[in-house]
Amino acid sequence: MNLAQCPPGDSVRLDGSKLAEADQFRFAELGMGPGTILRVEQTAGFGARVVRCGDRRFAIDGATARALRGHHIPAGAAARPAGHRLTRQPVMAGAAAPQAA
Amino acid sequence: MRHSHPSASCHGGATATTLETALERHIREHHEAEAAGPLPRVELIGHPNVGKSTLFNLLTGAHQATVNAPRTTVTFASGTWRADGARVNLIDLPGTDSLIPQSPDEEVTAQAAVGGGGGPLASRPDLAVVVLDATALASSLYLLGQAMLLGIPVVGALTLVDIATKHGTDLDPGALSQAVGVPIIAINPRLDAGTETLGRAVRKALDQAQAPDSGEVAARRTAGIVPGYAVPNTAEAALQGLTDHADGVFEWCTDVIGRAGVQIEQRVTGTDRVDRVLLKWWAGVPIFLVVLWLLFQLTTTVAGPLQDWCQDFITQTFAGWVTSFLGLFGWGTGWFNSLVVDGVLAGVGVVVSFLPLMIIMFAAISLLEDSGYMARVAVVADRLMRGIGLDGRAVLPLVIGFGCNLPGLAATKTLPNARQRLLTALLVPYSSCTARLVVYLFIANIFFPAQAGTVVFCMYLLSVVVIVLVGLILKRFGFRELGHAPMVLALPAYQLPRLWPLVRTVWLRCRDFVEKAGKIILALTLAIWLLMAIPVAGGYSFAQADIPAHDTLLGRVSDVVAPVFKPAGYGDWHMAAALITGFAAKEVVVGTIATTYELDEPDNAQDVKASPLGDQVHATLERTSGGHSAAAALAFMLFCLGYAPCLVTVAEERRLIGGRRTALAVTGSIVVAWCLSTLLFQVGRLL
Repeated sequence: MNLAQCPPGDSVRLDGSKLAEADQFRFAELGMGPGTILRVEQTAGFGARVVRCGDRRFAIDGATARALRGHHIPAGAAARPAGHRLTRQPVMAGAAAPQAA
Repeated sequence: MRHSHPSASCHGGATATTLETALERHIREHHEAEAAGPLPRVELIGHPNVGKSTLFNLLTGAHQATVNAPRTTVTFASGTWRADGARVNLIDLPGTDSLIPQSPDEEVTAQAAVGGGGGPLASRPDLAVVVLDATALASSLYLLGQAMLLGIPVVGALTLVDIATKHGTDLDPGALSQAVGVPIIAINPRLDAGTETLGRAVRKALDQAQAPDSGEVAARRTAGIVPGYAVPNTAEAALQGLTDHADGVFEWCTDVIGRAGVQIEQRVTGTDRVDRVLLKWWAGVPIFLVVLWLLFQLTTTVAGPLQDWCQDFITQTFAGWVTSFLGLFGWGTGWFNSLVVDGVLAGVGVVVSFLPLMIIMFAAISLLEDSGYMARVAVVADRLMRGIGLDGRAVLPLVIGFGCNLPGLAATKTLPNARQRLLTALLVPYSSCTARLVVYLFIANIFFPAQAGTVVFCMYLLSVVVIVLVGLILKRFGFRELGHAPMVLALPAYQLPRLWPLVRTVWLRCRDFVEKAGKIILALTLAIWLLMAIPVAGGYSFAQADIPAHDTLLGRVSDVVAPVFKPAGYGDWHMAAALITGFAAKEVVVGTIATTYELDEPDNAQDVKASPLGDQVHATLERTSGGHSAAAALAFMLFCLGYAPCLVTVAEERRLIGGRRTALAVTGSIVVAWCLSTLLFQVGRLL
């Protein structure tokens, strides 16, 4: 499933995304790399999602939410809410450097 | 240097002594600074909305200036701070989530941190103060780790501890400091708490950086993050090192949080509850519209009378005093009086009259930013603005621009990306401000008296169409990279804005406006005055009061310019003269038309149709358009909508995006307005 399909209250363990490499890298820097558990806190206007990742809350637009793929984790089933610690997996090694802005 | 007058009263004497002491201290400091060479450069690095600028304003006070990063439109603030008595050059860099840049603003911050920024940022900083957000500790530590990996001395300033505690986070700055290996000082810049301790830590770190073993200490710190890592010598290699070892920095963050015993609970907070409503379209959009309406009212209904009062005071009351004073020396009339009153004081009047507007606007923007609401605006309006490549927050300056372009430009500051700020600044002048409304009403009442309201409404719709059209063209040809980036926006906690930080911010922003835009406004006002003062026909002296408009340099220039507007149906010197002076302010377009016909403006816009002035304008456009005066009138209004904004806006635009880009923008707007205006006339005459 993708993040946009995840109902509020449930979580998604990220597997990957269809985003550009530079954007994937920035997501990973923000703590949203593959393996991270994102809890969908609410839907926002025009398809956007508010997710909790660790101690931060992010608003993600609808198109980007659809581009983030992962496994659905129903509410209560997650062993631990995302981000009690940094839950990111070491996936950035070998990732391409972001394109120059 | 003491010159206390013997007859000075105790109070006066004390004041004089205080002033002299301050003066002496200033001079001594100046000499000391010259003798000591450049001050140590301390850079403030942190996430956006973490309170970095509030801290900077608090530490530097009035001793600061806004500086453009070389070859960019990105600005940073530079000031002097006494850190525990030691003067340092404090730099407030644009907020960033990472030192691996993905936007022009982040590029400036990253280059400044590695010493590859050019100009004043060409060398490595002497120290970085990384402002850590206690409510987003993990990602703040990531930034801190990156700064430490650059090998520069680092001090952490931990903010928002009170909010983090409310949210359920339990952290001890001392334990955190021990786990990280650099000083971490808890501060609250909104309450001026902890800054003295921060100053002591910075001074101590700067002193330690001079010690013989400082290199070994730095090496131990970087090795603590990435074992065996050697800090590269070049800026490029240093940034590449951050990319290569991003995972190592992340693992270090996890380790630090564990060793510092930080406990993060996930309580449902007030911010969460408010966002559950505010971020829904059914609530967020109406509330945002109310906020926009309030801002619009503030910049028009509230600021308008204040502006009028200020302008009247300078150009009438104060000008009357100046004229009386000059009369004492025999200069009550003549060119010198005209230069001072109609040139200089008119320019000063313009600057002063815009001050209430800027104070209101800067205060409103600061309130929206400090409260955390601006981030929600970005979410709510994202879909609306994405089509033309802009952040949702761009809707704010564009809408404010419909009240007045000047605060609209000022509001571009809320955008986090320099390219988006530039694009928005280029679009704001196409927002049809209320000054243009005067022109629309005048022309519409002459040519479409029965449908004047509809015509004016259509002009506002056209303004929106022009903004979208120009936005799409600019995005297609100059800003292709915009609009594709994902929106991933950290939502800060809502906070109650504090009065003094707000007052300080408003004061500093207004000072910057007066210092930088004020000079340009004055120069352009004098240029317009000169055009109207120089006679080109015999029998008149320079700046003579009753010189006919057509016999001035303005009249001759208008004669030359008028044929350019022939394809648009209004190629006449009266209209050309009005458009030239309209560059100073759109409010004077109608006044100039009346002056060129040597007629009075009617008091009421509705009466213009039956007035001699209305008849003259109608007859003129009937003649210049070959009998299609209605089409020519619409074309004239469209040109007024699109062509160069008033000089105050141009001055502010120059301050924000630089002289070359402003010149291009003004030229471009004239070309766009002429093309659209001509197209409208040519199509209109066929109907």
